[in-house]
Amino acid sequence: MNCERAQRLISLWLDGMLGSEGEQALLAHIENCPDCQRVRMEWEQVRSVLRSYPSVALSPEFDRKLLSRLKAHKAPAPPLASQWLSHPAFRLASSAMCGLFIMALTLLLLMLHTEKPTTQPEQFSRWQRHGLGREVVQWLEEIEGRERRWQGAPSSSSSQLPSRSYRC
Amino acid sequence: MRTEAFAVSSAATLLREAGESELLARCRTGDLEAFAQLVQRYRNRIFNLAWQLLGNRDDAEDVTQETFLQAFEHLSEFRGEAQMLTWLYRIAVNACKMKMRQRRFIEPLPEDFEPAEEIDWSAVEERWLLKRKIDTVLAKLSEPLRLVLVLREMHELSYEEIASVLGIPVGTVRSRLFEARRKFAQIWREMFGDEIR
Repeated sequence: MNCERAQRLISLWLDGMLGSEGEQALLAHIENCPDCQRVRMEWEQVRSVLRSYPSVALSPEFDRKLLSRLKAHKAPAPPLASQWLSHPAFRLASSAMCGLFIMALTLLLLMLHTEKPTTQPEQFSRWQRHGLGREVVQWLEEIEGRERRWQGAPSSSSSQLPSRSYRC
Repeated sequence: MRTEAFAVSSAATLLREAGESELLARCRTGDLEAFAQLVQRYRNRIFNLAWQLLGNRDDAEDVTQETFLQAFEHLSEFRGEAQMLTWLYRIAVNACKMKMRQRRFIEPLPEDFEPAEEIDWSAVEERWLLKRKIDTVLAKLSEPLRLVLVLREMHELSYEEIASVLGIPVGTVRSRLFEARRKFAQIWREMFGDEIR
């Protein structure tokens, strides 16, 4: 065992981290090595001196200062999810969303269960086909009807022209 | 006799832990009185750690305040897997590192410092002289070596606890401790003579 290795083991030995086998080998080395004996003694002194470091006390104002800073501070933050859940805006929004959803669902069900009125396909007059408004169409059809009555032609709102009979 | 003493100390530990978990539960609801009891329990250890790492009272008190404020704020993140003290040490060490980056260590003794004959050391209270010497040698260690040495030798944390506080592997704790002891003894010898006491 060389001194470098032995001194690494001394550090572990001081902390009780060396097994009995390693300890025996180390002690055997130290017995014949004045350098490692000195290192061991020095490090024991280092420990002793560091452990005798006088402990210091906090100033009397420490508690008062900390307490006032803690009071100014908010209470410990709960987890993020519960913060969101407990937020009034989140509660309001979620209630509104639920209401809307229920309304939409009700409407959908009503629409599905209500029978559709059977509507005849709308008969478009030829005026309507030209994209004219209802009032205009009514007015034009009225005029057309009047003309037909005057000419003795059969009244019809259909676009088909009356078939003419040519009698010879 | 030893067994009895062990049983008594184990029972005391269990009681302390039970009391601590109850205190923690109260703290989590924002109970300041319960938190004050926790502060009372740990403040001196945190303050001494900060002093040993930073070397002066004002910064050490600042760091101690900061440690407890952060602990209060992040209490919901403490899951109780580590010991409360180890968790507080981790916060304190990080706060100390921030402070160290903001400024140098205490005004160390000058580079050419030698124990001069004309200084009457006996007039200085012995323990404060020792403290001054330790502070001076610690100030000369690099930050990673100072941290492991203080946590091991002055706070008696295990290798695993040091690894947890500093967020490094146990193997690194081992090698840094070896280096820190060697360096501390060497600096001491150079500054104050052969005998370390």
